[in-house]
Amino acid sequence: MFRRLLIANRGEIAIRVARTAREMGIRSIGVYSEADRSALHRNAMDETLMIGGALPADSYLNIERILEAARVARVEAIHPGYGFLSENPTFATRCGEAGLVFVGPPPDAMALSGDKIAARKSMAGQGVPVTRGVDRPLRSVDEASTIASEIGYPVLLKATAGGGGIGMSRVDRPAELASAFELARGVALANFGNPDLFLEKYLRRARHVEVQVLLDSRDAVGFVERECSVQRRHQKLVEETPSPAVTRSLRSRLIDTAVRGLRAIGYRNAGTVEFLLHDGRFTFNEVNARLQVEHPITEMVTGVDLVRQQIRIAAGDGLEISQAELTRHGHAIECRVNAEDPIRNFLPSPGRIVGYREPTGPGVRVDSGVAAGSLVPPYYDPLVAKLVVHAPNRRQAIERMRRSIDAFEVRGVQTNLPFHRALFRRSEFVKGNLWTTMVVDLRIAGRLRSRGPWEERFAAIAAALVASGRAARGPTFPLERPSVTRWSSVGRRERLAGGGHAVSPRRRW
Amino acid sequence: MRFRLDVDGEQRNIEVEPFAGGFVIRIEGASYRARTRLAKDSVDVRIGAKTLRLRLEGNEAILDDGVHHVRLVELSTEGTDVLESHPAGPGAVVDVRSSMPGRVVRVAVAPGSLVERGETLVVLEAMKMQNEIPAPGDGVVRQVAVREGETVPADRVVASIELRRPSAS
Repeated sequence: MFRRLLIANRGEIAIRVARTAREMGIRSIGVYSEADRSALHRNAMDETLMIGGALPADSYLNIERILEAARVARVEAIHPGYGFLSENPTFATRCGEAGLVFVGPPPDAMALSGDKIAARKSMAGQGVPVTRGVDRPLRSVDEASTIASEIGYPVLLKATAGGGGIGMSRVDRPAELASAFELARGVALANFGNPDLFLEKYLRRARHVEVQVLLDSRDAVGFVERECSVQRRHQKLVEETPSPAVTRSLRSRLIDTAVRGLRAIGYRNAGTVEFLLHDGRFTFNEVNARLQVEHPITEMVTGVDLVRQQIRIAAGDGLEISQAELTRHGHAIECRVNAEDPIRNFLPSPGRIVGYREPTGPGVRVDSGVAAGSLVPPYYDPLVAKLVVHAPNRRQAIERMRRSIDAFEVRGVQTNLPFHRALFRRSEFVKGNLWTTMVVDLRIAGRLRSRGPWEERFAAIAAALVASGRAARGPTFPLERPSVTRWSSVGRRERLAGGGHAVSPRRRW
Repeated sequence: MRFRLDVDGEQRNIEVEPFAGGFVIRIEGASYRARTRLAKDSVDVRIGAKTLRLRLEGNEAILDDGVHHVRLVELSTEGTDVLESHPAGPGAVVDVRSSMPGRVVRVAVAPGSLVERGETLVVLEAMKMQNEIPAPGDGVVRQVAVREGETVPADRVVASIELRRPSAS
């Protein structure tokens, strides 16, 4: 087993990987950018190294800097987390050349999964159903137009080199195709350095389900599906397992298909095969060649530490579980807590977190990258924490999630928690009637008008200042240093608001 | 009336307008309707079904269940934010502000540029999302206050526009 592991990421995922490494007796070496000097993930590491500027290209995406850090820190392996360099075959290859173990799939299997057309062809070759579409890059608008009329509108333009929901464009009518084609090519070129597009039939009211697979050199284990239909702009917001729409027989077909598909491309380590469920049938969507954001829900229902298995497979120690030994209990749901303002069309809301309290209790897990006092920089992903609950069944998991959302307090930056609160009240969601465009179709965010009690209190103070004429006198309140520090006043406020952690203070207000 | 309010170290941009005998309070996108009643040494504020009694003493707002340190940071009685509900007349120079903190990835105009209402002045990026800041009306760019690559806080002036025609908002 490795003794030293470099974790080439930041935020909650870097912390999550370091936890498992510590349990395995492996020293974690963290990296950080200039913007992350005071970031929480540094505290989770045994050692940390500064790797460059705030922009991702200067630090977390900079292969040279990360390999240099690995050399200086004398690590044996690199865990890339998700995002950043996790699905970059060049990085995986360079790790190998430098004598480092990359904790992830082999570079060629990763390259194949990353090429959407190659992955589609390969899956089709294994008898995996694929959505109607083309298996080659579109050469022109005319070609796109011919194919689109053959398979029928709406269609989805996709970037060959795309991923993470970027570079996809839905086209409803022939008249929109030409402009959408040019626009999507521009986006693909800007994001992936490759303008190539292909297209597929767009499936209305489809569900997104995916199967987590672990493969070592001998064996493979496919896990119960995760449903990730609650999305906005192709970005997942809520994931759950098992899917309320998947029957026992469909489940075994999904798992078989995913394992077979990944085996066929020589895949090793953790990977996920995404499918679209439509009219009781499923079609292949894409392969995610990394540990995924939503992996904790699988861990909750199976008790398997996926990161531990990843590290064992990479070290050549192999899987600790087999398909037959795998059991599952209950239902798990994850909400992604993003520093985004759902009232202002999910506008990013970076800044300083001045107050922070996580929900606790049975069946509640929070994977977080922040604490009170943390700065959420504008340079990276908006994900600040993942709220995960586990309960004996879906109904109880929903109730547990509602309680946990109410008990989760983040002050100083706006988060999408009010969106989650509204979603978990919607009857469609509660009934398990989910589809990928439900957030827009049901205008879930559009109905949010005001915020929780803390913002209400701001409003009350503002109204009192205006009504009493204090505000009209200008910034009359002396601008000298406050007599109390910010921290003592936050502490005092929390004491006054109830102090304890048992019941959410919002109930008391 | 627009101001920036600091409560216990946390700041918000706030807009308060009289409405139907009470106020509409807008806090960074959310709105509240409040009715107030002045007593001898306190103010009752009703928002929704709840009534809060506040006493303002020096820098403190004292409520039944807590004391908050309150500071008024900036104040303007005119509508500086023409993106909202204050049309400015021709010849007026208006400041255009950043909607969110972020990095300036593109400055699309220069001083002297003629712009139309809705035309992109500056593109901000935060958390992998780009946000275009549009011109509030037809006019001439008088000042560009940011450079590409610079990181700006929310509500910072990014450009000033001299309006040609009243913006029809």
